[in-house]
Amino acid sequence: MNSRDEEFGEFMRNRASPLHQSAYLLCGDWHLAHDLVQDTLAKAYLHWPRVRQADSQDAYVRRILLNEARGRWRRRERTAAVSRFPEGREPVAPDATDEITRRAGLLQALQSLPLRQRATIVLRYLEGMSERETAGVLGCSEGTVKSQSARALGTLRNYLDRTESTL
Amino acid sequence: MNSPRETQLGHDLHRLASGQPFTPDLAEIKQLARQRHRRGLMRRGATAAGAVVLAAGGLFFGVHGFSGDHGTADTAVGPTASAGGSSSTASATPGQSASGTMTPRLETVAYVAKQVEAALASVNGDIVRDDQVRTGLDNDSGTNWIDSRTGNEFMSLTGNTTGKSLAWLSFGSANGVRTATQVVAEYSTNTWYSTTLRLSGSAPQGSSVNQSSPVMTPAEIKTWVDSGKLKIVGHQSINGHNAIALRGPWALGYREMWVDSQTFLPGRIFVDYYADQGMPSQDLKLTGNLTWLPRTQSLVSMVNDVHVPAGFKQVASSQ
Repeated sequence: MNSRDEEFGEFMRNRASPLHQSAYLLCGDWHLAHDLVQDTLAKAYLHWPRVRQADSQDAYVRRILLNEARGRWRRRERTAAVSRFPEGREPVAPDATDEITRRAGLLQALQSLPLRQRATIVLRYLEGMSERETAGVLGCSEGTVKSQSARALGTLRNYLDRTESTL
Repeated sequence: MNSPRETQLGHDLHRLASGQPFTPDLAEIKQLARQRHRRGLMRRGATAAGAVVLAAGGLFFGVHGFSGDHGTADTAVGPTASAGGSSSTASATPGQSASGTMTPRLETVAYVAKQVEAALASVNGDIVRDDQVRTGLDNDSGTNWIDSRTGNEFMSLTGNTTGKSLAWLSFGSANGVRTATQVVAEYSTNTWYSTTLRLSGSAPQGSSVNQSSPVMTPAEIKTWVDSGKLKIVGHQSINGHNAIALRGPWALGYREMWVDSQTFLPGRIFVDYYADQGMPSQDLKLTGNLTWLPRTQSLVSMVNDVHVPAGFKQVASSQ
């Protein structure tokens, strides 16, 4: 195994699972998430010399992941109806006492968000990134991250309100 | 500081996304990377070749003029001009009208489109040399020679991480379905392979012909032209020729075509991936500078006949 493979292999071992989790929340399907991360890692491997020179390899690869997700999302939009809530109906969190159903409600609510808002939520609240770090990955300003977060949380308010009442 | 419900949201997201182990295999990732590289070769080839096929068929437009001023090389515009001319090219940012030499014009998009269509229809079997530079994540360069009569193409590509490759792309049909066959020789492994893709109907996964491909079918081009989304974004003096820039959207960003204001032949095509879509950009840009060359026997042979370097071993296209 050459040094490139060793370096990339270590990066992959450390980062594949977090990428997989993010991918799942972005696309809402474990199998799609698997494919998404595989393609992301393949692209990262192909361009590893450039990736390894980045200030943050992780942020760089997350950008690849988001672009891959967006490419698939766009193709999906053009070829099949995207699972969206009917007009006038917002996602409602189910009975909070049912943990499994409640998670399904969260996933459903997440999928109702535009991809960019969803990415913002994933980076901010799954990855625990700061607004600055999130802005770095998304390639936008901190103000944009704030507004995207606010809009996303507004859309998720039914879920969040129901959750909050059970805290 | 996050509010309690934001903190709870974070916990819920972690629980939601946990519990599914994922242990990718390096060999599998490397295999995917190789396949991806090959798909990229096909996509690059089909981008240029598709343009000339359309040009030869009088369908014109859309694909053909890579433009913008991101190219590092000066460009000649017009029939039989040579690429890499000596005069300096003014620099401008796509989205702006190209340069300080910009002047107001009366041409409408419809007028320019009609002139370009006529110019391409009058091309008589030229061999088009397309010097491409791709910047961003995919940082490489290459030269395509395209037979405007057959649409076949020969490509020499040098990637910063993948080394040198040669590729021949030819078009045919099988059972009424248009196909593209590409033979690729890779110097990094001294191997070559052949692969065939369908160009119409439901394209197989990995084909360059999908919703995000820069290749456009005639129907898509007509839709693109008729969409009202094309606009003239500037004029620029390139090697003493005034060029007109047209811009239109495509699935993964936008593309521009720069045409000579006298001959109306495309001289440059520029594609910006993921531009203006509010998502992270990795600054992927592809610039192709076009030179229209007289049809000679040596050029025709170079483009249409496959010449795999001696000593190269054939491998399956999936390897």
